[in-house]
Amino acid sequence: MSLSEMNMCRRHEQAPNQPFSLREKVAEGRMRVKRHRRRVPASPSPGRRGGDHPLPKGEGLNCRIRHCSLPAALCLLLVAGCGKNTSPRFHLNMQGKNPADFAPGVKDNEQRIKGRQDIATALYAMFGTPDDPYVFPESGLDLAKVQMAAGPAGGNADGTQRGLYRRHCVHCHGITGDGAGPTAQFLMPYPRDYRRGLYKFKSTERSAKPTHADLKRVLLDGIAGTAMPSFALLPDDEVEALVEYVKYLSIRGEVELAMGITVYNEEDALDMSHDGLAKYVSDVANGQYGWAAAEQQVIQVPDHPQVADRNQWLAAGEALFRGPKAQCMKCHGPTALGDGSEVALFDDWNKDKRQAELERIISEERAKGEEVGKLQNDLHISLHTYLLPEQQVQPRNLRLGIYRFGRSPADMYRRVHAGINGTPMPGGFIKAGNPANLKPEEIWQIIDYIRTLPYTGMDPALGNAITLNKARN
Amino acid sequence: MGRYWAFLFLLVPIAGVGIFVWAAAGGMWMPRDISEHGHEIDHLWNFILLLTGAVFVATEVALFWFLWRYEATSHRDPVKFTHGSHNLEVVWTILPAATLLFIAIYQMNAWADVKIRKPPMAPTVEVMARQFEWRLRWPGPDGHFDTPDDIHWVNDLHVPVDEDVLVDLKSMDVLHDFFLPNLRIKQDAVPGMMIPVWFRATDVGQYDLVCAELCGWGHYKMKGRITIEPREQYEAWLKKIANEQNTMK
Amino acid sequence: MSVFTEEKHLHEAGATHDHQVAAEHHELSFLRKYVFSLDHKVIGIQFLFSTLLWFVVGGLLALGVRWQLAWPWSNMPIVGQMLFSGEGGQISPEFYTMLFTMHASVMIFFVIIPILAGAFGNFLIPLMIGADDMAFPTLNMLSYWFMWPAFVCMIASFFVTGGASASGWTGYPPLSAVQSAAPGSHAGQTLWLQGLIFVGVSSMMGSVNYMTTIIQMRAPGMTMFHLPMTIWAMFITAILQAFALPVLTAALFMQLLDRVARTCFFLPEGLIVNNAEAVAGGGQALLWQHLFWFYSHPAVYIMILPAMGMVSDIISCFARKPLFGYKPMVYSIGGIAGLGFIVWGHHMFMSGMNPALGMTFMVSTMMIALPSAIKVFNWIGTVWGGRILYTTAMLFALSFVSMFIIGGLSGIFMAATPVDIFIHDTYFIVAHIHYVLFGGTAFGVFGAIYFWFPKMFGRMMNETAGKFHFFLSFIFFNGTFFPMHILGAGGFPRRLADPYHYETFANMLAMNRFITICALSMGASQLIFAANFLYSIFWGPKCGRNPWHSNSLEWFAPSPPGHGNFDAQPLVYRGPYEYGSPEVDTDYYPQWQPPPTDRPLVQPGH
Repeated sequence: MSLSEMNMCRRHEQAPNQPFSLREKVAEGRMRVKRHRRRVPASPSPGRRGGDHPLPKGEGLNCRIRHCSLPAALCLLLVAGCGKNTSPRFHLNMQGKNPADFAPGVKDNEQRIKGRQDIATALYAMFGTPDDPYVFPESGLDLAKVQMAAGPAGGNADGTQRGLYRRHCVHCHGITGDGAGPTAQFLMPYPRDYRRGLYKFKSTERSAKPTHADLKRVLLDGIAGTAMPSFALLPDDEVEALVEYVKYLSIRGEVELAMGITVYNEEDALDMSHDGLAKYVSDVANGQYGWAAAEQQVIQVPDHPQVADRNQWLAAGEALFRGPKAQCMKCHGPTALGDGSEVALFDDWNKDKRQAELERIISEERAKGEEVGKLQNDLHISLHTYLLPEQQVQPRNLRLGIYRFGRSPADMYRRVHAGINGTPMPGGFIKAGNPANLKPEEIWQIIDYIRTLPYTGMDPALGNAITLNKARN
Repeated sequence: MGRYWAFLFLLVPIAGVGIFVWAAAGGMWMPRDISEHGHEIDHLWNFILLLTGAVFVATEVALFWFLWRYEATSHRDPVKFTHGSHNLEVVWTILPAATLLFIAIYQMNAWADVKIRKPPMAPTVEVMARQFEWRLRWPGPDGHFDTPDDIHWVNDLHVPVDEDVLVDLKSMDVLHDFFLPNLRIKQDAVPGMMIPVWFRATDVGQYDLVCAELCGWGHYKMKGRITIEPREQYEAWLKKIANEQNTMK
Repeated sequence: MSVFTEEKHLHEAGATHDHQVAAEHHELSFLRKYVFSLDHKVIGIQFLFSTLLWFVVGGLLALGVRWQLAWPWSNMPIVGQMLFSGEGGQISPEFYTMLFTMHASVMIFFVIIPILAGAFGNFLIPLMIGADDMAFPTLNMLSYWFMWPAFVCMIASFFVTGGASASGWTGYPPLSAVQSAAPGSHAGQTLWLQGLIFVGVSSMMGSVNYMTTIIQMRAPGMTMFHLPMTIWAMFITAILQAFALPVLTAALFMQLLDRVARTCFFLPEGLIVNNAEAVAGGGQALLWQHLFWFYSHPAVYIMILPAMGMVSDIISCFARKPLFGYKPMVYSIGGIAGLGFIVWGHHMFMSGMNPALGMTFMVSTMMIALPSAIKVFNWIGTVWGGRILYTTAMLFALSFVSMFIIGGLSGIFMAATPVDIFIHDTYFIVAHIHYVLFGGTAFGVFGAIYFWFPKMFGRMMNETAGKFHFFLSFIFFNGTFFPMHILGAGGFPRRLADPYHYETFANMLAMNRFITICALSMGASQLIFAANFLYSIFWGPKCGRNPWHSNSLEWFAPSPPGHGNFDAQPLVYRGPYEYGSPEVDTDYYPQWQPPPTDRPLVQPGH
């Protein structure tokens, strides 16, 4: 750890033509962007300008060293004189959807390196910094709210709060919204990584974004059985600002992913014109499954049918739960304790993690020798800190009476209808006209059956449900 | 500086009393008491404060005076060559002993009111503490927990005013502490135990519910609120939450 | 091994023959003389240096806590930039929990307990009772070197995944016993437990040694009631430690097993912590609290009694007057020790323990205030009618009394169970413990360092610098901790990284800033002490045997005492507090000075 600190310091002393110092180049790229120009993004090319903006150094691959200690820090006191600025920076996405995609490594060539600089520059131009955010109008975001949530924690002179994100959220969700803040690695499940624009708990169709109200509800209620607490006691304007900031981080992350696909996967040059950049934002915000469309994609819950014989109705629900059509039992288990799955289950954020792959990249880098030595030292740390170790998802224990994102029949209907995006939980309603679809009354039967579970006994041989080994929160 | 060092020790009682007076007058003091039993606690606090305050001032001033009076260079009296006084020892053993015993007995009733004399009633609400939130559960219209009409809520504890409230306090994971500063209530929530907590609020309003036992990294985040309201409003609120939980739309 | 036996042989020889001669015969190597030394003085000084270094670490950890409370989530200087540059230097909440946990753990287990028993106990006991060394020199050496595994564990714990322990210095399970409950409950907590076990082993070795030495090795004429208060306090502390420690050690092992072998001594069934795999259960979380406090409440007295003893000696010496009420002082120490074993439940009034049991503990806790009160009155009685010399040591000793009055009286609030409902786990408790342990013990230790420094190093510390150090420490100490009473009266809870979330506490930010500024200043003023201490070791003016004209036996030995301590066998004729005695012309009358008359020499016990 101390090694990387020293490396960081050393790098600042080096001549600017050091062969492969990504951090420097990204910083340079940003230096070229004039602040007031960024505010008026009418210019065709915001990317290349004589820079007078006093941007601090230090960005890109960020060497965060966590959970080492005060004595360690004190030992480093002497080398601390290297003059690091402490304004936090957004971190570049080095993983993409697949860890190997975006990482600087074996695949890197001049074009990719330039592309990476361009992405950093473009993101800076489009979204600003954590202290000083900016939004393109195409994003549909409210800059005033975003600014209220951004910046260092603390209040204004008039008592209004600022820096809400860093006061309430950053330790888990990270400064970039990558779900990898310092606390994240100790949580189960991990905090949400906003950068993919993928959300589990929402009232909309499976592929759609959550509505504003959905995100707000998560903040207000928390998510039962996770480390996400309730923020119900914050004033409404602060919750609104935080919701807007989550969207901001999400849009920023998605734009970065889209640009990364252009640069790394398609190996194209990035269109750095204003319109070119605006198009990325617009695609994310206003596309088919964009943020703007979400309000129209809320699942309409059909009326609950009149039930003549409730026992028969519940028996039908149980049959569906156990039967081949809905296959709930396959994961949730015969007793609905969430212990049915034979194989390890992963959500989208975890299933691509291949630590071995990362190790391979690093060792290949290492084989190349000192030319890339410092970079891969950084890379090593950055990959380890950013990619939290693989973590399984647990099917819900349905006997606790507590369900993530709501226990009302309507909430549960949407859950069974659309499944949970990004997880192995499938939707009952897959596509219009599909014979595998569950019919609305079948969904209701399943839900009504599940709703009785916490209050009905189990096979006594199974003992006390809650204490069983696989029971989860 | 010689004997002037003594003034540093005189500063202790002066500043000490001064800060307490300033704080009590300036509102940096115990939050407003809205509980039925709270006045006993506050009275006891004030009583002990006055008593210890008097002892504090007396001993510190005596210390100052001896330090001032008997500094070596400023007086010529011979040293009082004594190894102690049996009578004095007896006096200053018996007097504090009697006082302390009096305080001990005097407060027992207040303690019993808060922690021992549980009102004979069914629990109003179950509070399940968890990293890092307060899960609340009302028994619903049937008056029993673990039935489908239970009403669930998080962090905002609603209770009726001017009525005994009995809380079943539990914890799901680690130790927490159910601290209501305005109601003078504090009780650890211990996993594996169900601890009853009771109080009667005398005023309506919203007040803080604090977790006062270290429960992990997010301990400070575990903020709750107690909403005290008249019976009708309380029931209307419960009904509203129950409806929300059973919504079919 | 052979060297040790040889040394022991040498030591035994020295006990019966002329020490000077024996010492000259065996020139010890540097390693044996200064590192793996069997000499109680060297071991005492080793303890002193180690604990003072840990004092710096513990102090810096405290400043980290104060920074967060004054400027929450702002960029913490140095540490924030190094560890949390990604978040703009704001620390993470689990780092905060680690800061206060490790501050308390370091200060209690690595500073206060070992500096009193380890440093001063070791250095003073043989000298003050007129012995040439401890009863078991090898055990004594081991008691110091067993601290090192503990040091290593604690330092290592900062570097493991999740960081050092973060479940409070009390380590309450399940937070501490379940790995997934907190970042600090990963490897850090295991190392913390191991470290404490080593500290316990070290303390136990010390205790056995002190008891044996004090009982068996007193000089001729040194009856138990001729012992200085320091020795009485050390003796009773050693007894307390020997009886209470096994319980803590057992508890530490049980928690260790809970963590590594899933024994569930302290874990009830049905725990769902952070979605980790459930534990088998069957244990009780409160059991740990009973076991822990059964040790740790007596430990509070282990942390103050020796300081009380040393302060008694210093005050009597510089008031040039006998200690007022020597025997009541001794009995009150005994009373504190005895009652100390039946008050542990007052830490658990809010824990869910049977509230009726709480009443019992409340009465015993009220009663333990009594011996403390007697001690205070006797100190004031000692000052009365004396001829007070304001040396730095005296100033620190007097401030001990003054601060202990505050710390003692604030204890009555907590003992009163109904009041404790409100102030339990608030800053009132923090104020109380710091008035007792910092204003009390730490000031007493500073006084003791200024007082016995000449004996330890043969040189004087600078008095002017010492008085500056005292003045600044005293002012800023009170500035730091007195306002905490007010915070506590407002209900301000301990251990919250950001208490200003709560409306009730939002208005307390300004006072916390004031406290932090005082704390930073107090930290800075210790630099004066550090400079004075280090400078004086090498360049302070040389002193004679008895620079303070003190009565007790250690001043009979050369400064610093050579191997075997005394160049002539000391004989004790009287108690250590005969200042201003009409029998002699000088204002002091040392224990070793024969009476002026030609009465036949009486040697009690021989």
